[in-house]
Amino acid sequence: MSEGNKPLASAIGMRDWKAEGWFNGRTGEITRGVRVGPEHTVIDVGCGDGGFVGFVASQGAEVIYIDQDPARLAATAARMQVSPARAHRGILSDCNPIPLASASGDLVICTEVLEHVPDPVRFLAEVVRVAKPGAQLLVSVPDARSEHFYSATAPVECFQEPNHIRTFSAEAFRQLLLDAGLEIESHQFTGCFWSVFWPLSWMTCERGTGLPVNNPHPIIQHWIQLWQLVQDHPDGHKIRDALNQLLPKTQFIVARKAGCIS
Amino acid sequence: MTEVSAPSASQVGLVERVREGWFNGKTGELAPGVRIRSSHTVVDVGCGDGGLIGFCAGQSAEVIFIDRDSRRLAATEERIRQSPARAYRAIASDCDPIPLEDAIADLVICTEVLEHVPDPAAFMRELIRVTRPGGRLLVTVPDARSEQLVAATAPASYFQEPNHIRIFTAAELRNLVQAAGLEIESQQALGCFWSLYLTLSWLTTDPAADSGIDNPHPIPDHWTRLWHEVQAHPLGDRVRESLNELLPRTQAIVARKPLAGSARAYTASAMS
Repeated sequence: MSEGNKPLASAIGMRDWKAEGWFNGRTGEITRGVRVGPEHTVIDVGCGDGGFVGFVASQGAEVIYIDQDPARLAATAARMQVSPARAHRGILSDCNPIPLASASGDLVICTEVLEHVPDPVRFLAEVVRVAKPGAQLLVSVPDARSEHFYSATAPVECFQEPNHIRTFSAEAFRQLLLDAGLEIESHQFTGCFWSVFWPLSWMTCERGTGLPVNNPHPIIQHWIQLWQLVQDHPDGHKIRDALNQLLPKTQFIVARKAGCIS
Repeated sequence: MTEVSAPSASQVGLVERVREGWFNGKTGELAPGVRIRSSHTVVDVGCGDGGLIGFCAGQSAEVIFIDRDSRRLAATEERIRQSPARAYRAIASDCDPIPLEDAIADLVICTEVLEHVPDPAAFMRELIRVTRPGGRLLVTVPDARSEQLVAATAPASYFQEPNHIRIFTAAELRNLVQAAGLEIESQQALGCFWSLYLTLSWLTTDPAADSGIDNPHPIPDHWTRLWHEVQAHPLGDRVRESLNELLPRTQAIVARKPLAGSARAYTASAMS
């Protein structure tokens, strides 16, 4: 949908992710230290639009993806049909409980879900249950700082059910995973481009047209063009890395379930 | 190159400061809650280009402004000469000690200075010495979060003498002021426009440049134009206020020197 050479926000955001080491097709890493191969069974709990399962499938793994939204699940299913996934299965469920046997996944992904659920402790216990002993988990929630900024202009519904009903500080998120019996391997902060993008986009978008990801307003165009130039600059990553520490959109934890890999 | 109508960073930054309640000509407030009256004597320690003391002069106060940079001092003096200041005095000094008698000022201004000095506690005692009992101090330093961001692109000299040799968190600034025996009236986080601007400007400027302000490179220029539009938007204040809580450039503190006779005043004078 890009007009001429106008960059899209989603392309800019993805370029940051790749530069930070996400979705590395060469090493098979989703993010540094989380490698996926054809021998793996990967479960994505709350797969949404399927960005993560898409990568996992491209590595030839078996993919099980679950979402409570039938439209999103169907869109992901269509992508899976044409992917090199070893096997794939879509499940429509609210994951309370997760309709899978215990110890099913070599890797369990649960991104941007815990902020939506009424009981994160119980939900996470389910996520941990379906992971094999010794398996890795990749879990993310929005960062509290960007949520604060987001709330300056976003409609109130964004912070009501079924949207974000809870905000996690970095410490609270970490503690949640530790309390679930997981060992934390890394805690990283990312997505600062979006932290600035969303408050500006909610401020300037036409209300009632959904998530304003493609917003032609000049304020948004300045931000997109600015960030593209930063990405092109040889030292631009220094700004991205510093802003990711101060105003990240998302915090990711890579954790491991106790036990030996079978 | 920028169009004729393009906003400059210094203009956008000034508009931001006015929105934050500073330089209010209608109420005579230099900063929120700090009203300047013609009866006041105001001392600016490290006046720089004289924006703040210039406002006080505009309110017809008596103004005394000090800087160790004689070029800047002369520029400020030129500005004050044309103002309605009741009286004025320019002093070239490194303020160690401040070459003024005790208890001369109703208000002492000291903005973006403490991060440069080797002994901030001793410097604070000097500021308090020249303040009259019951008088006030307006002190600002860069915010630690903004300094962390600027450090990504600023040259190493930015964090070396004679530049910023110390970084204060909001709590550290508060502690410094309270430990000196002052009563804090308010603390404000402000200037988020500059946090990103300076970082983007250092990325794209010659490291030998003076300050990186008003850099015509497209990267900082996009940010200036973006923020100019944010300022014009009906919801722009919300965006600014929210970002000021997360990534402010500056933290400002307004504090009062206790009246003589109070226990805290005694402590403060015993320390000096």
